Amino acid sequence: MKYFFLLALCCCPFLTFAQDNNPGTIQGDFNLNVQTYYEDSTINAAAVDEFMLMNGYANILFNKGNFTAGVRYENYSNALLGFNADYNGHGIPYRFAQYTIHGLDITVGNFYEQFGNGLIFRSYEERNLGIDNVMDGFRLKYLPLRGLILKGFIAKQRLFWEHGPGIVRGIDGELNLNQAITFLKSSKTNAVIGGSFVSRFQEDNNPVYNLPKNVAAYALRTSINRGKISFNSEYAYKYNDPKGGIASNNYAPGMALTSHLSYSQRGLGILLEAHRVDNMDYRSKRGASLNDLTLSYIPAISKQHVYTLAAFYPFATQPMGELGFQGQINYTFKKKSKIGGKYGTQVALNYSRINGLNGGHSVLTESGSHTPIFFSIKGEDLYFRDFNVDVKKKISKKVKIMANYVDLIYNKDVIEGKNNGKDVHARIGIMEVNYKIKPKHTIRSEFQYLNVDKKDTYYQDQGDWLMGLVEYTISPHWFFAIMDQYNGGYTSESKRYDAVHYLNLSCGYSKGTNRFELGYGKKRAGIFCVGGVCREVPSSNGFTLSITSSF
Amino acid sequence: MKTTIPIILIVMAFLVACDTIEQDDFLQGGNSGGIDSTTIIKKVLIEDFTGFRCKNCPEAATELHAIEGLYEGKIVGIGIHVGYFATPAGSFSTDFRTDAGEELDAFFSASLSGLPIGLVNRIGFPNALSQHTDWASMVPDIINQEATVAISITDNGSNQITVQAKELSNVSGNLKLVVCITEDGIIDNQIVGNDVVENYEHNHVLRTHLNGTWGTNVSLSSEYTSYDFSYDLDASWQRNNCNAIAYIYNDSNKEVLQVEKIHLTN
Repeated sequence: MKYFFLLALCCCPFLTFAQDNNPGTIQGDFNLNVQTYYEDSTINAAAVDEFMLMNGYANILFNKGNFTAGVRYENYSNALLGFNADYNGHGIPYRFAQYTIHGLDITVGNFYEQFGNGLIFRSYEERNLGIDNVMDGFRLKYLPLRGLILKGFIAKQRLFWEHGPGIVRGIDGELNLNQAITFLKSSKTNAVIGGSFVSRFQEDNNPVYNLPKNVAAYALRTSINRGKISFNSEYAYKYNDPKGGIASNNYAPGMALTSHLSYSQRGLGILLEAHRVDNMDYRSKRGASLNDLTLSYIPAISKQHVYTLAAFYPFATQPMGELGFQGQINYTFKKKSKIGGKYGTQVALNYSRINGLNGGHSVLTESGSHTPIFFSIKGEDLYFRDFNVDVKKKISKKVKIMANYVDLIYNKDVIEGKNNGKDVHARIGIMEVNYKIKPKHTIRSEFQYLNVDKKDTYYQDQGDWLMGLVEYTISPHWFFAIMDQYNGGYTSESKRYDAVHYLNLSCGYSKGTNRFELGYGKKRAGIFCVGGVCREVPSSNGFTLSITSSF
Repeated sequence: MKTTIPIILIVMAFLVACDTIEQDDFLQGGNSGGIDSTTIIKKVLIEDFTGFRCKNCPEAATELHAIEGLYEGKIVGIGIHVGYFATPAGSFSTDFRTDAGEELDAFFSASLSGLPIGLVNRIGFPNALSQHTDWASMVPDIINQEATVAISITDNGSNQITVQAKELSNVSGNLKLVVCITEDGIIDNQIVGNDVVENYEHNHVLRTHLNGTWGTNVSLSSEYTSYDFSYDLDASWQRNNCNAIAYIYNDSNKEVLQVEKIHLTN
């Protein structure tokens, strides 16, 4: 079947539009990541039998007028460590054809889609995490009247090189009130309302329990903007969704509520966010785990740090239950003011706090039930707390500095599934300096220090870390970088780990849309996250080669 | 607008697909496992990759125990402690790992897929791993199949056992026999949820393989063929809690055709 699509794609320019002078356009992109693995007892890194591993893919997209078709070839020979070995192999897991006519958009084959914030449905790919839960089926989008968008689909979901067993059906409607209702067109207040419904069908072969074959979820959302103020909120409800098995089953419904309020004017931005999630792990197969076959997506409610040591302890959203808040203020001190200086100064304050639900998530079994109270902070299990300050300042035409301070508490047991009994309390200080030596020549340096709280009440994990980075860029083609992460040694579970340097060298060359990057060094084991979804990365020692290209 | 609303309603009607089960109906009534037992039935091997530092693994152990209860005498379980979660650390000092277990873990990529996870007769190789919540649903199809191989185990005393095997119908492929020892009733630490349970009872714990991880080739006929094995029990193992397990699998697709278990005699 996949070869049929490929053939159809290749033939399209010559057959379907043979009488049209416009041959259409073909676009593509290519990405290859190769790594060698050497045994290194100093960082507990293992060699691999294959010597080197590789993740690669290429997209090819054909477009002509209202018609688009595409394929993606993927090759994992074998998958890089930290990615699920079930990806090993190669093939074309993504192929689609799409056309739009008279307001109706039809997609057959694979598609990515999201309803609202994604609380009950988000099909997406995040290659750095090894996530690709693309749908395979039919999707329709229709604009029956001004301001109204309807979407619907029936599809199965990708699970590595196969599909999950569930058939997923979904419909979403979004109405822009200002566009749809005449007397609101001139209103200063803009409002959008939406609703979505998703249902999963899966056979019930359970010999003991009656499991629902059709598990549904719905969500309602609104978005209101007026001047400098913006508010949006979404509520989602999931019906009984037991995992299966015969030892026990939880028939409790799930829910999620998320709200964002922001204020923005020149030089000032304020964001307030809150969400509550209870038993909201919704997938296209009952009982699926890890990052497999996810339908629901709960956006992270903590800042996604980009600096290496600040991202050392990232929070992963807990779909089974959490209550979280986040507030952020961005302020720009004006140019020529006392703090702003000659070029102005940007300051950002951010605070987030996430805790578990009272008594855990909702439970409903044949013998009892538990429903956590809606709002409870005091005395609840703290999952994550982060206070951070970010300052950016241009000192002169040649020098820019960025300073960052992070103070966080990280519940390693909940987030990583470990059992240390204590949280990690870390304080991270970061300084980045950019210096423009001369036109096209820039040197960037980072200095980072992570200090863990040594009090008995906290888990010291791997102790303190120090990191330095120097990157030299010759625009537009070259960059060279040297980075070292230093750990001073620590004792964990009665075992002493010696001090170790994680030294990395890398250089890159870009020309046009081609980019080559070669590196060598040690990588520490850790958690890598994108948008509150994380994967564990094992330590490694070896060369890395990355090539990207597009046309 | 006149046509749009009916269209939406029709679409919604198709999509309002949701089954809500009332609390009184969670459990099916009068289920006895549905076994049509004949003289020799096809038994099911469930291998549970686990670890005493894996917080969710007790759920799989509980599930395996429940399946054994539901299909009494038809299920043989092996708890294979593997990987990071089975590595001794701190107060978790006992090493339940075995060379064979680690080899099986690497071969089936169990740890890489996240524990707990398991194999039911190793069906579906190379994608044979299944979650514990699926195990019970997979069992009925297997035990209702006609057995193609029969196995019996005899404890001869003096650390000697004899495994006899024969084919009940013509079986193609390269067959292999694996014999191993498991132990029940081991009291040791286990993380359960966010708590350390110090007196957790570990059952089905794989202790050793008697003829290698992948066993030995066997050629079966319609008459029983005997295979003798000797074993040594470690001093820390309780003999009266130990079991001898023998299973025969097809080497081409790794599917287990038959499994048998006996409790070792004192």
